[in-house]
Amino acid sequence: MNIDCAFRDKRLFAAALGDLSSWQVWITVLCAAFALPLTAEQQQIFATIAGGRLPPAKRVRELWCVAGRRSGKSHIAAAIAVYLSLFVEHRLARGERGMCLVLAGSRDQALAVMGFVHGLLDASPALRAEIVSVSPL
Amino acid sequence: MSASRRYEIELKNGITIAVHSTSFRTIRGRTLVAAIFDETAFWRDETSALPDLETYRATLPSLATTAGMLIGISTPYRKLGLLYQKHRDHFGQDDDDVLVVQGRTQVFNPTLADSGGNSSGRPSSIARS
Repeated sequence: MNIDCAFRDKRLFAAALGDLSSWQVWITVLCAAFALPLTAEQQQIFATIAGGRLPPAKRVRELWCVAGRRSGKSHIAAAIAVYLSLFVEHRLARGERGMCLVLAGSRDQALAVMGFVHGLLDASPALRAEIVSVSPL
Repeated sequence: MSASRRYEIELKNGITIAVHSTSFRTIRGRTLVAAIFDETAFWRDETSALPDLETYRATLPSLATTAGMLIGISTPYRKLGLLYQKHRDHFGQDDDDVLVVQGRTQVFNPTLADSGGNSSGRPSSIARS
């Protein structure tokens, strides 16, 4: 399932994100980063935030988002982590464990991001069912 | 940075979501399927003048075998460091490997009225040259 569908699905990410109208710019960024086709509205949004470049033709290796305070950065970081962990097939050797690592600059920031991860998983029975264990907060 | 803390969720598919408040020292040797850097412009470490760049360099080998994505999300702060370099080198460039976007708070979060302060996403710290 692509990231656009996963975010819009009320049984998945939309269960926690709620009204997606306020997440349209972030969803556009993620669609572009994964080289998904952009709607006409998303193309307009992309043009305002990407400095005039064309959308990537393939999934990028790196995505950098420069955004003002209170833009929902930690929330979207958590959502990306959950998506990449559960909806993307990874190149792992048999038996190898992979880690989706979120690095934050402080303990408080890490706790905030992990709170959003928990919120996303808890709000969706389907996502919550994928949990094996949780370290204590 | 403050004392290292890690919060982890182990998933059925063999992936662990880990959120750490730490630096490049704990990355080496791990297999990463993705790395997400939160607020890199504000990372500090008493033992490194360049914690963001050192962490970035330490992370790339851990992502190499999985071809995992690296995502950096931050408010801009100064004309130094990893975020500034990525913006300077890649913003507005047609590059299928790296995408840099930038916007004000109200662009990314339209539920907020203009809150003043540093909400531009492009203050004096990162100006497109």
